[in-house]
Amino acid sequence: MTTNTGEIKNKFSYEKLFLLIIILVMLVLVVKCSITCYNNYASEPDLKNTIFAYNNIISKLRFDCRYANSAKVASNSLVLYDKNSKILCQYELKEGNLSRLDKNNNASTIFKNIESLSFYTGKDLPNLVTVRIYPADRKEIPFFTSFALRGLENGK
Amino acid sequence: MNNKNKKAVSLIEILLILAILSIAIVPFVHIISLSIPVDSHTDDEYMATLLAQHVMETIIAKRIKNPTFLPSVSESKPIVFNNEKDKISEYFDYFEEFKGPITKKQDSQLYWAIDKFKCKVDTYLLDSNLFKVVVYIIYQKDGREMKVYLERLFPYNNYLGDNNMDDEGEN
Repeated sequence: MTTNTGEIKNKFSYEKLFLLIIILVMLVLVVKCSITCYNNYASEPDLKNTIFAYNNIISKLRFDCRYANSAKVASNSLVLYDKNSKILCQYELKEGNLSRLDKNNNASTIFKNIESLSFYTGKDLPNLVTVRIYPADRKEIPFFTSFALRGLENGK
Repeated sequence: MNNKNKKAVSLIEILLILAILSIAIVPFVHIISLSIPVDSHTDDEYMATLLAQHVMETIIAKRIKNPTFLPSVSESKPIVFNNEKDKISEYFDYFEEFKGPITKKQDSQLYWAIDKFKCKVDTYLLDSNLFKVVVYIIYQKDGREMKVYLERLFPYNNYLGDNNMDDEGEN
């Protein structure tokens, strides 16, 4: 009987050890999966924020350029004029942030942490504004596209 | 006693199976995730869309300036200056800021960001009053040719200031 009980005790201790090892392996796998999922989830917002900011710039400039008839560009600012040569809105880079000022001088920041920005038009095509933006984070893609000034009436 | 032993073994067996399954499932999940097409917007795809917009807006600006302007059909051409100027797409061959095309020397950051892309423009006559312009930005990814396109309808002799005729896609 004593021998039997001893055998059972030994068996149980082996089983417990085995059990512990298996649980440990499963725990390690669960932790590893959680870390991987967290890293994937955490890395997305940065990209989405930049793309979101770029989309914001596109929608704002597309809207403004529909009603703009001419543009005045400087090294880091853009002024859009309507058909009556009145200021429609302004875009300006200040302290690394791109802000948009509407005709009532209400400012709103549309992109933060910019390393450099330039607006330019061509001599042949003064009604085409090209925008180039380099975000401060060098890993992000630069913004490079153009907008035609359509000069439509009935702006906002 | 026998019953006790049997129960303990069966529990361990289940745990063992679970452990083996959890290890074995990892490569399967990896294989399945590889087989699912990537739906997210990649940097390349986004950059290509920005470049396609540049080309389409250039065509619109030219049409505003000259309502009879009709974009010519062009084959797939590079958009940055490598060696031969003639081979650059006409929509990227001159920028006021660079006094010419984009080169490695003038703006290396932009150059390397768009070096992989090529531009192609197709023009289709739809009827006597309408034509369609399709702008393709082409690039290579994992050995496959990827295209982002932007298309727009234009009437003859006057430009459309409205965006309602825009369409875009990818393949």
